Amino acid sequence: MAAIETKALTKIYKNGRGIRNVNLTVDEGDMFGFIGPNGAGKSTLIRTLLGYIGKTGGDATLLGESIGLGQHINLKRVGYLPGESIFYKGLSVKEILSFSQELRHCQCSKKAAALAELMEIGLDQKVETLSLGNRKKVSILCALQHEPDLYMLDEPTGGLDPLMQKRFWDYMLEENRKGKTVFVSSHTLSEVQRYCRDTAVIRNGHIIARDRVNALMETSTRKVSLVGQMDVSALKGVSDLAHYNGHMSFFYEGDMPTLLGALAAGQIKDVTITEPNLEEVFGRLYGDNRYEDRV
Amino acid sequence: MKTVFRMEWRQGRKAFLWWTGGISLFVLLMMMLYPSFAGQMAGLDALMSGMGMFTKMFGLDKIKMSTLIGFFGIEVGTVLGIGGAMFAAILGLSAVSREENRRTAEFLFSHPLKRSQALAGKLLCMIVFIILMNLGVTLVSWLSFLVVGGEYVMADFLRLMVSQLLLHLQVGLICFGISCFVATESVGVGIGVALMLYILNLMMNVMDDLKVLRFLTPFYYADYINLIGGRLQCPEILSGFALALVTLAAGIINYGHKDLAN
Repeated sequence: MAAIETKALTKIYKNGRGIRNVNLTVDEGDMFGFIGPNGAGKSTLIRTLLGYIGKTGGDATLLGESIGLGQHINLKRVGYLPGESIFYKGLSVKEILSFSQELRHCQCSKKAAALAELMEIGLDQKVETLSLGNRKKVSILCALQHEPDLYMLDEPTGGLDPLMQKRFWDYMLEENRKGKTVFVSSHTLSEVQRYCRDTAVIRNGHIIARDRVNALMETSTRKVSLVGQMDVSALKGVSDLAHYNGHMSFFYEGDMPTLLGALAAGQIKDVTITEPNLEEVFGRLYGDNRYEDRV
Repeated sequence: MKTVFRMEWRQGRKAFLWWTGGISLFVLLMMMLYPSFAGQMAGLDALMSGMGMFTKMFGLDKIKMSTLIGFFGIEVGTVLGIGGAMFAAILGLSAVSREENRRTAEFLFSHPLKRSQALAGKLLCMIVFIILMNLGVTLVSWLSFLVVGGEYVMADFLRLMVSQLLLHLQVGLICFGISCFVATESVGVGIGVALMLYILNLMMNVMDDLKVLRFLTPFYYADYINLIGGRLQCPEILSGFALALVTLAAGIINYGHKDLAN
């Protein structure tokens, strides 16, 4: 069964923005990265799936249950981590967690305490005194403490220091190994590249790419970085040419012998030829219309 | 619903204590002034009964300030009515819209909680706050009567206090219904609603053509003019609550179908 399945899911706001004809399948047990720029529709998709807002068209299921405005049944098995961590004032971390546990009818105070220790957050602190990062930790605890089958995480590591980020991801990887599904919406592409198996890219409300992370990064394009100068005017397949402080860099999609010949003719002290990372692939997906509808 | 009720209680208890304490203190202080005013009131009664529109607006030709219950009704009843209505309006207007305005809706509805359950918990808590506020003020008022001494008819007093409670409940319910439509809290709007309803009643007292508005504004049936030596205004109470329940129902239905602002 798919953990998340959408068929032509559409949500159009009054200003015309939103998501259109989104077809997406996230298999159970997957670690899925969902990436896109600000305003692309990531949060719209998540909020439509979770029932905060109503769809305009299409269909979707979450853990086999149809989604709908105010739909709450399937939320028993979902742990949602919103992008912003805002809680009721005057409460301690422990009280927020208890409130969440009561709403879920779950006896998970031991699990919550263990997670609090892992994330190094004091249970007696008042939430309004917490920093952004610590509020994020509380949000993480609320999403994780009831051990859901599906994690929907929106910018999960924003505000966390590197140690906490590692602990968080180690925990999510362990959960994924147990068969839990993890759906991550993130700007931190290195995280998606490192931890996710599958990914989808959204732009202007449309899914423009959907593939295994490895496959998405599989490309004949190479990133060339060199110290020195060379003439690229005769080379076909060059893009994103940049000059800075005696360095040059560009992306090259073409045959390797031609590139090597051009490099040999240049005045080069050092050269590096690598595959582009996901951030660079992502940037090209956004800037290059050739990647429209690569689904 | 219980969990939401407890959270609402936790979030609102300070404001409840301040409003109840403030209104109770006002009642106490005013009633402590009665003995010193009582002797002078007889002359004032005659003066105030001949002040034209002002007399008619505040019913000073029908109720005597020199009597204990008359003094209470005129001096205290108005402030209790407006103050309590403001409290109820602010409670009601913020109860639901607060979640979107303060962006806690994202957290609240990430749980397996029906929107109707959340509304029920909030509504019940609002009603409990209003009832407790009125009980507190009623107790303080009655104690002040005992301290000050003087004769009064208990039925008049109870009629006044029950009508105040109904007034505050009606205002609270209407504002709660409105809160289901909007995503912003506004203390100013709450105060405005209470004052507008009060002014409507004042206008009705001087303009007979506006008498039909008595079915709209709860200040009519909570007006001491109609209650001291009178009776509960049942038709107006029923029509007022019918309006409140319609507004509430419309709000609840709307909230179940609206997109929650982010």
